[in-house]
This record gives sequence, structure tokens and C-alpha cells, in this order.
Amino acid sequence: MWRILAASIIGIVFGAIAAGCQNGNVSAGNSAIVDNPPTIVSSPLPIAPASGMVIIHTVQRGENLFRIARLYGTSVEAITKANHIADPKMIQVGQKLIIPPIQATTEPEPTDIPIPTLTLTPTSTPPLITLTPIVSTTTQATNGTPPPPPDNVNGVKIDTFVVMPPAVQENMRRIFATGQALGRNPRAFSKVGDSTIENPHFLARFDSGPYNLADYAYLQPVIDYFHGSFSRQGMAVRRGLHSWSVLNPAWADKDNCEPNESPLACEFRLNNPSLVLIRLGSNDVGAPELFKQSVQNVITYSIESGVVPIIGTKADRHEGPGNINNNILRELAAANNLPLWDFDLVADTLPNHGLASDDDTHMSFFYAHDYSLPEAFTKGHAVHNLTALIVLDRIRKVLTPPN
Amino acid sequence: MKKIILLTVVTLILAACAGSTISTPAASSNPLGNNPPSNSAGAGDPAKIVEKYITAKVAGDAKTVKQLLCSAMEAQADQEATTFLGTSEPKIEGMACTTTADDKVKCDGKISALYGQEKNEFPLVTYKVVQEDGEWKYCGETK
Repeated sequence: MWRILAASIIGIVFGAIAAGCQNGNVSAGNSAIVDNPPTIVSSPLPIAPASGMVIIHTVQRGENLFRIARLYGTSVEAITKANHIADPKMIQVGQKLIIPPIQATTEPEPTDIPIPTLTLTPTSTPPLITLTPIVSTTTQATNGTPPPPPDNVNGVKIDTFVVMPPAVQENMRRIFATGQALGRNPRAFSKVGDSTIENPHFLARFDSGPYNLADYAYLQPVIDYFHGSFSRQGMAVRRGLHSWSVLNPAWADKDNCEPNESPLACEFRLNNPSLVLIRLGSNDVGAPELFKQSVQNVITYSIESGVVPIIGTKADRHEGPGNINNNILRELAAANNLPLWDFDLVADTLPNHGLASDDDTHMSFFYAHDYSLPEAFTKGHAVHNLTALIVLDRIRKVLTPPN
Repeated sequence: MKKIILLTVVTLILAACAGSTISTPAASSNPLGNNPPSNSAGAGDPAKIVEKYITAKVAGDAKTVKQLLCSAMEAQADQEATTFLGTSEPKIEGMACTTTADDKVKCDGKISALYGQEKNEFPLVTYKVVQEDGEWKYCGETK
């Protein structure tokens, strides 16, 4: 018993060391490779690699080769062979395994779960192959082609809540080009908002994992593209932030920002983004004209800085009946030819409009980020994050279309 | 023994005098109206001018803010006056400002403000002052 306990402790320590030595783009729950790594997490559905595709899986705590093989529709034998593993029980948390495209296993599941060990094989490093992302984890059509990605969330068409007519797309390209000339990072976005988008609830999970995009697996490339931005709260997200505080130096983080530097200026300087997600209005009560002018000021500043503003509507009605602030946001997006992320329309499909039961402002939680579960589509933060990914995906395709 | 008691009493007196909590009226929902009568800034002590400015800013006293603001920051006057608009119970805590250079005033202390149950704190920093028409004016933050 004591030997097992000692081995567990040693294994956990070495597993943690091995995980810490991983490439910076690899984190718990992710399979990573140099180019466009898909994210594969434990799923009740097998994820069959397409012909010619090789996947890299990072061993998670509690996994064994049988479960991993079943996850990908391959066999323990194929995995051990591809990775030159002498003993199938000798795998380590954090170990990267090549998953070759072989048929599903019929092997029985072993009753024991291997304790993370000290041994790491293979004896030689297999070549890594560039992957194409898996499009969907749902049942594939009989001709082997993956089904098209969903065109809606909870029945709300994507084209309805992501509003980007041609004029908006043209304007986006113009602003983006200005930003590129200024040296903006095309793979970084920033956030502007209040406690409703504080970490860890808003997007952070897409940097750290685990998550399961399920039918929306086509969004994996946008997660990879903007890696690092999802978990960044930044200098322009702060509890109690009002639209008229975003450009006020008094509200800036004095530990990180320069004197007289507003939260937004500070964020743009530190993060150098090409996009900014603007989610304001929950705290802007009783001053619609000031709210409108203040958001316009934020938009103007962003555009002049070469950063494309993405206007997001909110689920709450904290400012009172009439949905005043959301309507102002829609109006400003249209007037400025900017992309509108009309989350409010999707929040309409959620229990309590996506808000927590004891809170008229903050959204309901679903930290698991497992979109294979029906519960994910009943929670405010989960749907909020999914729709944000979709918006970023659409924008990315306009600004940096694939070759 | 007596010396120890005396030292203790002196220390307590000094501690009681060092720093104070100043409660200011909550920011008005209409910060650009209902302002108190204005006072002349005067040449005076730059540190006092900055303290007066911060007090006016927290109170949403737009008239005094504009009066004490340097000309280079005129365009930000409304923004300055609405800094704490929408928050409740903004308070200045432990403000103590001292002139550290010809054009700098360093302030210790902080401002705290509530929004619902969410509390925010805003540390006081070092501020720039300039003389315009013979009077000291507040002119933003500096290092």
C-alpha cells in the first residue's frame, strides 16, 4: 500500500514536471502540433481521424490506452506500435501520443487505471505530420464526408446574431489594414467590459482547456489562431466599468499603466490587438445619451488605433425596461459599419435570458464548456462564449481569408 | 516607566493625526448641474489645489473641476467630472498630498467606490501642476 502511494506521489511529481516541459501551446486537454492543432478531449463519441491524418493526443490523468483508442476509433495495438510503447500500461500524464488512423477497437477495457509512471518511451521520435482539423464529432455521413457545421445556435441563425453585411466587411478590412500598418498583432484581440465578462467565465477556458466543441469543432482553428487572447482579461475589463470610464485614466490599473493612460490605451499598448470585443452597458444606468456618446468615443478611439471594434449586446436589462442600451449598441454598430455580435438575440432562447437565478446582471455558469451536453445550451456564459467564438471565426475569415 | 508611557501617548497622538477618512457626498446623477458656489483657486499651495481637485472630482463637482483644470486638459473636463458617475458612496480615504517638485504633487491614499456590491479602489498617485494666470492648476497624472 505504501509502495503504491509512494509511486503515485513520485509519478504525480514527474508527471507535473513533464507537463511543465511541454511546448507552450500545449495545455491540459489539448493535442498539439506545430501547425493548426485540433483540440481533442475525452468525448463519449469516437473521433475518427480522416484518411491520411495523424493526431497527437496528450495523456490526461485517469486515461489509459484503451480509453484513448476508443476515443479515436483506433486500437491499443496501433497506438503502442506508432509510439513504440513496450508496455501499454506504461504511459504518463502529459505524454504525447501519435494516434494513427486505424479501425475502432474491440478490445475489452482493462479494469485497472495505470498510475502515472516514471518511464517514458518511445526510443525514437516519430515524425510529426501537419494536420487538418476535424470538422465535426457527430455521426459522419455514409460517404465519409463530415456533416456541415451548424448554421445556428439554439435555433437562432448565425447570420442573425453575427451582423456583417458587405459594407461592414469592407470597413473592417480598412481598419484592419490601418492596424497592420501600425504593427498590430493580427492574432491578438482585447476585451472591454465589466464584471459580466470577468475571468474565468469569458472565453478563458479556450486557452487552458479542457473543452469539447462537439458539433462546433470547426471553430478549433480560431481558438488556435487567437491562442493567448482568450484567457487575457486585460486592462480594459474591470468591475463596475462604465462606458464613460473606458477612456478615463482614473480607472486604469496603476501597476501596469502609464500616467494619464486610459484603460483602453493601456490595453492597446500592452496587448497590441487587431480586434477588440466591446461588451458594455450593464453598469450604464439612467444615462442613455452619455452611454451612446461614450461608446462612440470608444469606437472612435479604437478605429483611430487601427483596432477593429466588435460591438456585443448583453443579456441583462440592468438599465431598466426597454432594452435601451442594447438598442443603442445596435445603432452604433450600424452607424459605424462595424460587426455586431447580437448575443441578446440568442440569450432570448435561454432560461432567465441566460442570467443566474439570483442575479439580474450576471450570466449563469457552465464552466465545463462541453458542448456535447444539452446543458451547455441552457447556460448564459456557455452560449455567450460559443457565440463569441463564432463571431471571431466569421471576422477572421473576412480579414485573413484562407489561401 | 514614565518615559515609556509618555512615548506611547505621543505615538498614539501622532498616529491619530496621521491620515483621516473624508466622506464626500455621493456622485450626483447629474454631475453637470447643481454645483456648489465656486471658490477662487488662488496661487496658494499646489498640494492643496490637488486635494481640492480630487475632492471635486469625487463629488462630481463639474464647476470646480473645470476651474482647477489646466487649459491643456480642458477637453477632458466633462470626463473628469463624471469619473465616478454611476458608482455609489465614492470616498476619499487617507488623502495626504505633498509637493515634491516644482510641478509635481504626490498624494497618498485612495478613493473607494461601490457599484452594487462591487467595490473598486483607485489609488492616488503623483499629479502634475502648472501655473496659469498666477494660479496653480491640476494637469493630470505624472511619474
